[in-house]
Amino acid sequence: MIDENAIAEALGAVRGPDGSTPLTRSGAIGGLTQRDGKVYLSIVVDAAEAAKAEPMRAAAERALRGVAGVTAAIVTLTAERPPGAPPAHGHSHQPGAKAAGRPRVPESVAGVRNIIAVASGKGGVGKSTVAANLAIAMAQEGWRVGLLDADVFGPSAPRLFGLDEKPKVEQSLLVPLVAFGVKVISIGLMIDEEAPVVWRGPMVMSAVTQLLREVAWGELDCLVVDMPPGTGDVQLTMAQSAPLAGAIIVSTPQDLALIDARRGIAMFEKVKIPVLGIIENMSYFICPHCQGRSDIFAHGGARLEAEKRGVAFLGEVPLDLQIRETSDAGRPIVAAAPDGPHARVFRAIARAVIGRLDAPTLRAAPKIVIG
Amino acid sequence: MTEGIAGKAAEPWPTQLRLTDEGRLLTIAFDSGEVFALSSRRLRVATPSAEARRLSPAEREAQVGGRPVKIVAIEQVGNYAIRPTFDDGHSTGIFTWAYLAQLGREAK
Repeated sequence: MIDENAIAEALGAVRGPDGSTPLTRSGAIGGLTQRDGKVYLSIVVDAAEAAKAEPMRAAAERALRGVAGVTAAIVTLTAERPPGAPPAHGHSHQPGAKAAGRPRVPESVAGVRNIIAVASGKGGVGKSTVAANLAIAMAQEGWRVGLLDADVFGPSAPRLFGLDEKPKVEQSLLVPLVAFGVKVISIGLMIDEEAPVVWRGPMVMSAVTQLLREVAWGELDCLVVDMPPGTGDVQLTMAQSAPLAGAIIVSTPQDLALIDARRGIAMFEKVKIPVLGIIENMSYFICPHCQGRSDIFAHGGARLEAEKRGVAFLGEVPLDLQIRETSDAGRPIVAAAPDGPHARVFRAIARAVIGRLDAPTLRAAPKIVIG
Repeated sequence: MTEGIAGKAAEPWPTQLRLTDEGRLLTIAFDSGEVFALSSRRLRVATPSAEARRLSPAEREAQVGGRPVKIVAIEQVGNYAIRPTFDDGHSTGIFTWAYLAQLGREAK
């Protein structure tokens, strides 16, 4: 062990960044450690003055090498100077009153009990249609439901819900529109349907964060987030900025889509978001003329995949002209024909999802306690 | 069916994180019954941030120095991690539950 006092004495002879105050009293020492005769010192300087500080750094290094027992001295200049951080080594007995105050623990989205993501690995599998119908079906089950269309590049919620007015702003919060008992917000409500969204990644992320947090959602039992297809920036942003209660993966039964669905599942597992289940969309086709059934994309692939992954299978939605027509007309099938066979499928899925969300098997994020 | 969610139960899941000693000590209780106390300094040195990954252990030590380290804020990252802000302004390390457990076991 090298004598700390000897080190302090040596450094006291070195002038600090202002050229007169001894280094030890200048408050510029960011850190000092020693091990096996080696001394590491970091001096905090203004980034702009780094070049001017070089002689001081060299002087400190020479001074340290002169201390008995020191075999090597490494002095570095660092510009990482936090606002309000306690100045330096040796002053730790001073109360850290200037430090940033009480630690803070940010909350999730206020008033929203559960946030779930409806995602797909691949585009074109009908994810948005499923998300819309699921949200309406959950609302029909008596839940207070919101739908956030996070597919900023291809927002489809305005068309699906038949909405075309711009949302109002009250107290700097966007007021969601309400359709079929669901509160809806989408970037598509703010921009023209034909206008392309040409955005860089950071813009997308801040837009998504705003759609999540700067909206007057009010009290919700569940916020359904219609995710853009894929496993990229937006998906990660969602996973990091909101404690998602779970994710639902939509896939068509053919292999090509299932490969990407698998990627989606893997991504959610990586960020510890439970996969609530898989929905097989365009599962089969009943011919309206002969009533014969065709498994256009093969059938049951998603159920098999779910079994393989140990993930729940939530249900299969047929490929049906009526679902397509009602979606394009802005009256999703669950609202247009609430007693029809398709609505029943979606309501069964909604009940399954509600059951999963209410079940205590979901591992809640830990409590963070300060003090 | 529930195995799908509770599934990979081998991984520890924290039940509580407690920051004490004016932000100098983080105590993490896991559902496995394990409880780890990690100093904020240890966490600062072991930060998994991208810019710190290229540093050697000695360089990390030198960067942090000998002063006491405090955590001034903890932000939860989704379901899987925390992002502490240290009193030197560093806040880009995302500590996953598994990483915290690993650090805790190493400290014992």
